[in-house]
Amino acid sequence: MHLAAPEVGILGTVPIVAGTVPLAAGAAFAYKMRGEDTVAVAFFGDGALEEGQVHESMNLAALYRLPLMLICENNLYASHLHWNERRVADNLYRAGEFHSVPGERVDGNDVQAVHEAARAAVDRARSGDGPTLIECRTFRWRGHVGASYDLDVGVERRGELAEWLPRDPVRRVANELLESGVGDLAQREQAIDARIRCAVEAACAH
Amino acid sequence: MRTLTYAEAIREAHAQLLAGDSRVFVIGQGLWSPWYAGSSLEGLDREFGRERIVDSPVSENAVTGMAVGAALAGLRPIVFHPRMDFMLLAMDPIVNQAANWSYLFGGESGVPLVIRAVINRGGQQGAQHSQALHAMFMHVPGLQVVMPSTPSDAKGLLVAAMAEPNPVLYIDDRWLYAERGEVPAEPFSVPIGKAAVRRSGSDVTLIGVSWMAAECLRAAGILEREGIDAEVVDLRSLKPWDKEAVAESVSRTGRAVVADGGWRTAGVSAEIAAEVTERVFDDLLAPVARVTLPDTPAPASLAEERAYYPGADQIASAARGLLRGKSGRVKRAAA
Repeated sequence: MHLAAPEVGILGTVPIVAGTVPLAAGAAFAYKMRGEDTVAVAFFGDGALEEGQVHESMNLAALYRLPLMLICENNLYASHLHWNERRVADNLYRAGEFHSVPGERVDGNDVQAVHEAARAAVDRARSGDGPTLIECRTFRWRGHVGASYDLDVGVERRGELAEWLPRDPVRRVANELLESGVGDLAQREQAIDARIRCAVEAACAH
Repeated sequence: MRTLTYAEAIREAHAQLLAGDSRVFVIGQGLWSPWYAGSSLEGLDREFGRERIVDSPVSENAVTGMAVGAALAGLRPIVFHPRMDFMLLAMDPIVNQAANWSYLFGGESGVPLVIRAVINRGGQQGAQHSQALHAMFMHVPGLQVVMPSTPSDAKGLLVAAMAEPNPVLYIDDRWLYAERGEVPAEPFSVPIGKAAVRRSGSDVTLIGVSWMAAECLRAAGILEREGIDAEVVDLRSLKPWDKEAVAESVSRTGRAVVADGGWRTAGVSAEIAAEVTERVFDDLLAPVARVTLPDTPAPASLAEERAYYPGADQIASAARGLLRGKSGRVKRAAA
């Protein structure tokens, strides 16, 4: 729940859903004040846009032209509620319009599409044009808490999940890499899997 | 030594901190206008530039969150709330984020942030413009809370707060802005968590914080004319507060009046009374007395304000009550 790796620029993750958005704006303020070309990135879910501090932060970031990317991972559910139980319109990428923060919607399960949108937002941030909101459409496979499928909390999402499983972004990018002629992909995947397994086992033993 | 007002001392601390460290900046509402901060920030924008003295939109929540993030990214922010009432909109960044941060991440990452809040009551401004909410914040682990009552402490505690690796809530009081006192010209620190004995005495200890510490001193003057010798302890810091200094004083005098400008229930006075009772029960000659606001929101009429805010007279009256006991005669601790 509380992850941080300042050595690679991850300042921290916390469970108050919109809590880190103004913090990222503050980090962007620091980068700008020091004249660095670092861009701050706030990662949050669709539920976070229901908390006011995201909207306050967008106005401040636009006003001060902060180098900030706002990445909304819209997995359609916040806790146990589908987006249409929480909003009238499916239009999160437009949330910044009132604050002059441009928004874009991309297929969040398409690594290349996410990369291109992020690239444009970084360029925009570095050239002093301020923040960008990117809504990455995806789906939450597992539960809001833990590795269950939410059946334990009475939410039936298996039909939707069956539609989303074939769009697995990791599988998709692997297939693209294979098509582009990366030869030893299976070997690399095995090595990555082994590293992840080791890390998880070490963490569990802690 | 030269003298400054309380507001001038706050301004001087800001100016010296800004001049001494390029990481320092100030953000919040009203920084470019004396309407909000009196003379406590006057002209800082002209001296240090509006990139470092940032008068913000009315977004208490995100502005405070930005200050937390800027601190995490290596700056040394002072976030300014010209009325503490509005700071309630910033509870998430203050309590959930800043106060908890170093505990969330195993102490590897802290939030070196000063949150400055002004208590700005009176003047018939009513319930939402008058609140002294320090006890709420004193309750939160991970937050240090300081409340200077003199010009010298106003400067020294701000300098000390800025040197802390974790968040400090610095609360000043508009009713103190015109108080004048000696203040060293160079930057200096007043240690957080240390009380100051403003007046020595042997009959009763008057314990106050911020404005009420000043009222305790006036109460001691009233009591002196009646032959009652009061000691005055100015807490200066609320979290941590100087339990040893208070216990030592009360163990000598045997009597304590706690005066606080906040509400009574679950307030600062309750905390201090409980701690005094735990520490020096055997030395007490009377129950700990409390002088606080009544448990109601601030009124908006001048006549009601006069009844609402306690001061030196109420503190002196509480002290007399402790000394007289049931017989009505003044009792003293055995010499």
